This record gives sequence, structure tokens and C-alpha cells, in this order.
Amino acid sequence: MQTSHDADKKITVQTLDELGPLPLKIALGCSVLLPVAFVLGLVFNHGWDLFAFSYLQSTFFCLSISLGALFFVMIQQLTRAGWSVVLRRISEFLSLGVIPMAVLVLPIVLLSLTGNDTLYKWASAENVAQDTLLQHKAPYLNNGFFAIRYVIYFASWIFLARFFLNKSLAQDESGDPELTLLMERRSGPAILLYAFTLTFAAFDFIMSLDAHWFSTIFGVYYFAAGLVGFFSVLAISLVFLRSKGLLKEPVTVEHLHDVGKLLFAFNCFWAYIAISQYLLIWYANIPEETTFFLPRQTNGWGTVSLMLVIGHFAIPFVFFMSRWMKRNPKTLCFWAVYLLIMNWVDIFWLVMPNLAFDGMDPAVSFPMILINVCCTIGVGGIFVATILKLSAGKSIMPVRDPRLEESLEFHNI
Amino acid sequence: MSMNKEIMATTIEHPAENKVEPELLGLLAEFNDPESLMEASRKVRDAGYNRWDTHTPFPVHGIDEAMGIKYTILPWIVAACGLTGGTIAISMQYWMNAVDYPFLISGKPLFSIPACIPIMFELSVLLAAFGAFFGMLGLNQLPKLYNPIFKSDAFRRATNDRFFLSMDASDPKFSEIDTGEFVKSLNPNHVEEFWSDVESPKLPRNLKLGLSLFGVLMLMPIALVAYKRSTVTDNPRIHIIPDMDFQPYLKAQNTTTIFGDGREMRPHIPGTIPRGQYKDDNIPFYYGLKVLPEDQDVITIAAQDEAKADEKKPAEAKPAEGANADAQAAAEDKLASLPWVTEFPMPVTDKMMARGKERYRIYCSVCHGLGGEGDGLVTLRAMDLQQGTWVRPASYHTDNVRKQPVGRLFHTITNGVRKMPAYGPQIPPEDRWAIVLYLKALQKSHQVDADTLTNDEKRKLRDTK
Repeated sequence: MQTSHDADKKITVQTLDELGPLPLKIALGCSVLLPVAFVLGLVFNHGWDLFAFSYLQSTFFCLSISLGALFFVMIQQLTRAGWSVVLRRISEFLSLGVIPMAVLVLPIVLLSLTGNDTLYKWASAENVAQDTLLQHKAPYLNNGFFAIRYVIYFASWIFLARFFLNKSLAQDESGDPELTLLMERRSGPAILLYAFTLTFAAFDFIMSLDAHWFSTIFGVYYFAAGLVGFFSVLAISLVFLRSKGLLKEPVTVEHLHDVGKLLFAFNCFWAYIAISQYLLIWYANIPEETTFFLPRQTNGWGTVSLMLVIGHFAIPFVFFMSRWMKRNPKTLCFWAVYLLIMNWVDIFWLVMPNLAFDGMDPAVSFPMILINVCCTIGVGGIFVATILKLSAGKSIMPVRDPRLEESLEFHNI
Repeated sequence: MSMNKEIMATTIEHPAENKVEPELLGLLAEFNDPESLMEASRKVRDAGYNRWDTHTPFPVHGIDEAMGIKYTILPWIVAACGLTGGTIAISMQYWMNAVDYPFLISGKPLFSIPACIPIMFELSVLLAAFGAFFGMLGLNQLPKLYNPIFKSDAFRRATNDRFFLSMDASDPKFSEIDTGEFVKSLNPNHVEEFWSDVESPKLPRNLKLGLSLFGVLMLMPIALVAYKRSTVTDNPRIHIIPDMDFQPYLKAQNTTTIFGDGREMRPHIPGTIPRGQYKDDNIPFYYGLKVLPEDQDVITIAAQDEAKADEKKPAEAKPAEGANADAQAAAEDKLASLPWVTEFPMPVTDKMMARGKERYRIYCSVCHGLGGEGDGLVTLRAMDLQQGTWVRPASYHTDNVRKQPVGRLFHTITNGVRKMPAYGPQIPPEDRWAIVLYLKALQKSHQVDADTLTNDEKRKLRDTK
């Protein structure tokens, strides 16, 4: 591989440590809200159910961002992309979020291992005995296999995230272009592994909340949601870091523009997948499929559904399409925050209406939103704090990547 | 300049009609590297020229800013086209589905947004793509097959290793002397002028011939279609894709190559019963006859005769009446001579009687009345409205009906009689027999001598409402 002629040029290594201890403190402070949400769950009527579902929602919201980051890192290697080198390390850091998530999802798996049916109806032998469909699905949806799959999923993701970060970090030291070739070669099979694990994880952890319903596109739906979340977080991080003087030189408006384009594109992709799923079910009108949308059109969830259609797609489609919106750091940051919130609403909409299967009123209520927001901020705090901790002392840019020069000079034509 | 003189020299020899005064179109400056071109571009931009261009062998980053080119308006064209497409799609679907041809499909609303989304998406994308493609062509003034600059030999290297800057003479700031001086001050390798063509170029003879031939050939399909539309032919039409137009229809008593035994009519498959033939195992139960008559059609023919007679009858009542009566009488005769069963072909039980009562009340009582006297609610209302076509249904308690064997009654329910339609398709045979049983009970109840009853029964009859 041809190395750029000034690959060994001295580039100042910047790390997240330059932000000071404040972000970590704030993140840890936020994580206090997780126990608060737990206590709130004990106070409110049906609060335990609300907390359990909120916890699942929060962890899978954060996990989707990390998985989006992991995909971005791998696809950049796979396509030998040059433009993205300066922002790849930040993505690699974000993909490390699968590590805290592995720990945080563990209670959910343990809960189902005990046969508790708060989240998953199929986890309790009693429910399975009364339900023919669950009996038929039992060879796949059973506690033991579920736990095994949990281990496979998270082991794969942690392995992939650490592999791409470690090789990239090793290149910071050695400047060896062979490492780039190695990552390119590994990214193909890695994406295959990623595609299967992500699809089945979405089936297992979210879709099986309603074990009677099935949608083959659901894995892609969760993937699309995750990429919207990831590009939002990436855009916010870049704008934030640049405002703090980090990455200010290497990351230009051109890079922000491309992140904005990808955010916009994957938001449209999300809408495309969502309407595909809806349309097939709507057309066919088969009872066992429409059970998914029925609780999402009643008890106030209709408003949330419409909010997704208009807020998650129509409004950003019209206002975020323009080039100017993506090239202006302030407006880009605004839309990134907006879409991150919409992404949160999307996962909220996927998970929370399943309360209906717990025999309680699944209406959108104040306790539900309160517990969920507290829970999300709490889990998010742990998520951010762990990422900051794991990435401390590491360069926020692959300083000796052979394509760094191309990235530094990147220019939209 | 020398090249230009040469052209002028040759121009003079051409016929007068092709002669045009050559016009200066612009200046062409050649540079060795992109940096000097950029530098020159900035100067031209700052000098305020509008109509000028640069030509490079590869995309040069930053040349847009150096030239001061405004960002393209193409996105707006694309957006406008996309919105137009979406609007066309939704109004088209509204008009088609809800106005022009309203058709309910699986209970969905006539105009339903989800159903419109795929078409809206497709048309928006299609028109947006058209907008992008044709908008790009239009904004770039393409396709352009020829440009006077191409006549410059030096310009050939624009696709290889030289960088050019061309000034258009139509620019308001352009003046032959000043601009020439200005371009020279940009330090190009050399500057040359390019002039308009002095003759309108003629098409090559062969190309003209080829094009006319092609044009004539293009007319042929249209001519062929026009010819075929105005003539008649006995030949079958040409089937490019035959679909299912030609099928090997089989006829009775013929031979075929489709089946191994060469027979078109297929023999019964051992161990199966052809449709309908299972009835032959229990003729009394399914037909109400002891045995099927030699001429099996007698039953159905009788029924058909009645139906025909009824059809003939409408409106002109009088003359048809006689004929109708004749037909009926003939049918009666035929039917009366058949070997009807006189005993029920299934065990008679209380349950069957209850079932018969229930079915009778559902199917029969509306016309014949609960007591079977031909005074059902439908009849009463028809009489009340003086409906001319209404025939009062028969009472069961006339001698004629009373004399009929149970098989004949069963046949009447199954196939209908006169105005009464056939109930066979609606009521299964068990229920028809049950109705016959109840009907017999009704008849019997009207003909009981009070003396044969015990006092208990008399009291019960008096007290029961």
C-alpha cells in the first residue's frame, strides 16, 4: 500500500482528557437518575412494569447508538473510505458503548432466566403451557437459549469494537499501513457477523416482547433507528468537541456536511423501512400481524405514532434537506439533537406499548414518561461515562492512518 | 491569427449564400499547471467578467471559489420536480380511486393514504430524477455537439496535461484590445483567438442518405399499422405470446394423445364415487322416490316445464293462464304417477319433530303461515298491497295436498312448485324430511275428531294459548 509522503509528519495528539473532568462528572451525575427511576417504579401504581420496560427501552436506545457506530467504523474500512478518517476514532470510541451495555442488559437476561414474565411472556413456563403459539416457538424462545444468544451477541460486538479500535490505536504507534489492509480484509466477514447478531438481537430483545407478532424486517428497522441515533450523536460530539477546540483543524465544515448528509439519508432510510413494515401489515390486514399496530393506535399511542411520521420524517425531510442546514454547525447540531430525541421516541414507541401484554393499561401516562426519561438519562449517563473512561488518554484521531491526508483535505465537490 | 486568415482565404472561394462575416467569439489562454490557472481565475473573477470558463483535464478542487461560481440552483429544480411528482401522484390516485371509479377493496377507505404512499414515492423519485438529469443538462447547456474552441489545436491537450481559460466575447466587459492585454497579463503560455464559422457546415452526403433512409424506415411501422387497421383478414391474429389462447379442449367420444390409453373420456377411478352419485345409494332419502324412474329426467323436466311456463306468463295474464294451467296439469300427471315413498326413509323421533317445527318456522311460515293455511306474513302483506303477480300459497289442508305421499311433499320442498322456489339448495335433506314430518303433524292437527280426544287433552287444548 502506498503511504502518504508525509505520514510521519508530526501531528499534535489530542485526547478527550483535554475536556477536563467535568463531562465525566456530569455523566456520572446523570447516572444517579437510574436508581431514582427505580424508586419511582416502586412508588407508582404498576411502577415495576413501567420501570422494567423503561429500562429495556433505555439500554436498547443507547445500545443502538453504539451499534450504529460499530457499523460506521466497519463500513468505512470495507469501502476504503478516505474522507472519514478524522472522525473515525470518535466513532470507534462510541462503539465501545457495547461494553457498558453488555453489563446493563445482563439484569434483563437474568430476570428472564428466573422465569419472570414481566418483560417476556415466553420466559414463564406457566404462560407457555397455556399458549399454543408460544409452545411452537419454545425451541427458539426459551430461557437457556436466550441467555446463550445474549452471550454470543455481546461477545461478538465487544470483540468487533475492540478489534477495530485496538488495530487503529496500534497504527497510531507504528504507522504500519498493513494494519489498514488487515482491517479492510476483516471488515467484510465482520459486517456479516454484525448483520446477523444485530437482526437476531432485535428479534430477541424487542420483538419477542410481543411473542405472537413477527416481522422479518424488524432487525433492519432497529438497525435504521440505531444509525439515525449514531449519526446524531456523532454530529453533536463533533460540534461540541470543535467548540472546545478539539479536532477544530482536522474536522472541517466539509466533514460536518457529510455527517449531516448521512444523518439525513439514514433518517429517510428509517422512514422507508418503517413504511415498508407498516404497509405490508396494513395491506394484508392479517389479525396476527395487526396486533402490533393496534395498541399503537389506541390509548394515546396514536398521537405518538403520528408524531413519528411527522416529527421523525416529514419535518426533518423538508427542513434538514438543505445544504446550508448541514454546513452550519449550529443548525446541524440542532437537527442532530432533534433527531436523537425522535429516535428516543421511536424506541419508546417500539417497547412501551407492549405493556398491554402485561394486563395493564398501556396508555401514555405521566408516570410512564417520567420513569422512562429518568431511566434513559441514568443509563445514558453510565453509557457516556464509560465511553469517556475507556477512551481516556487515547488520541481522538487516527494520527498515522495512511488515508489521513486525504481526509484532512476532503472537499465536497 | 494566421490560421484565421487561412479560413478567410478559403471562404472567398465558396458560393455567396454560405458566406458569413467571421465573428470573434473569444480568447483562449493556455496554462501549464492548475495553480497558475487558479491564480488567473481569481484575477478574472476580480476583474468582473461574467462569461468565461476554465477547462482542465481533471476536477480541480477550489476552482469554483476561484472562479466565483455561485452554488447551483439544481437542488431547487429537483425539489420542485419531486414535489410536482408527489402532488400528481396523490391527486391522480384520489381521482381514480375515490371519484372516477370508486371500488371498495378489503374494507379499506376509498381514498386511503397508506395505499398512496408507494406511488407517491415512485413518482416523486421519478420526477426528481428527471429534474436532476434534464436540469443538469439544461444548466450546462448540454448536449452540445460542437464548440468553436475545438478548432484550436492547442486545446486538444485540455484532456491531457494543459489548463485553459476561455473568455467569451459576448461578455459585456469584453473588448478585443483591452481583454487581450488583460489575458496576456495573466502570464499564460500563449493566447489565441477563436472565431465563428464562416460557413454553415454541410452534412456529409452519406449521412444525409442514411438519415433519409432511416426516416423512411421509421414510417413503415406506422404505415403497416394504418394498413392493417383498414383491412380485413381471415387469418387469425399473430400470437407473439399465446398465453392460454390455445388449449387442447377435449370432446366426448374422441381419441387423444394426451392420455396413454388414447381415451378422452376418463374412466372412473377405482375406489372413488363421482360427484352426486352417492345419492343413488339411498334413493328414498335423497329423492323421496322408492326407485328412480326409467326416465330419470322426468323429475327435473317437470320442474323445468313449470319454470318455463312461469316465465312466459308475465303481464298479459289471461291467454297465458290457460297454457300455464295445461302445463301444470301435464306436470301434475307426470309427477303423480311416480313411485313416491309413503313412509319416512329415516327414523322418526321427537327430536326430528322439534327440528322440523323450527325449520318450518324459519323457511316456510313466512308464506304458508304458522298453521299452514297459506296466510303467512309475506302473503298478508302482498294481499294488502294488492300485488298482481302474487299467487297465494297453497293451504296444506286441502284434500289435494293431504292426499300427497310424504315423498311428493319432500320433492316439492326440494324442487319447488309453481311460484315456490326450490329449497333443496338451502336446506339439507334431513331437515327437509323433518319439515315434511312437521307438516304432516300440522295436517293431522286440523282433522282431529273431538270425540277421539281424552278430557285431559281437551282441557290442555283449551288452556294453551
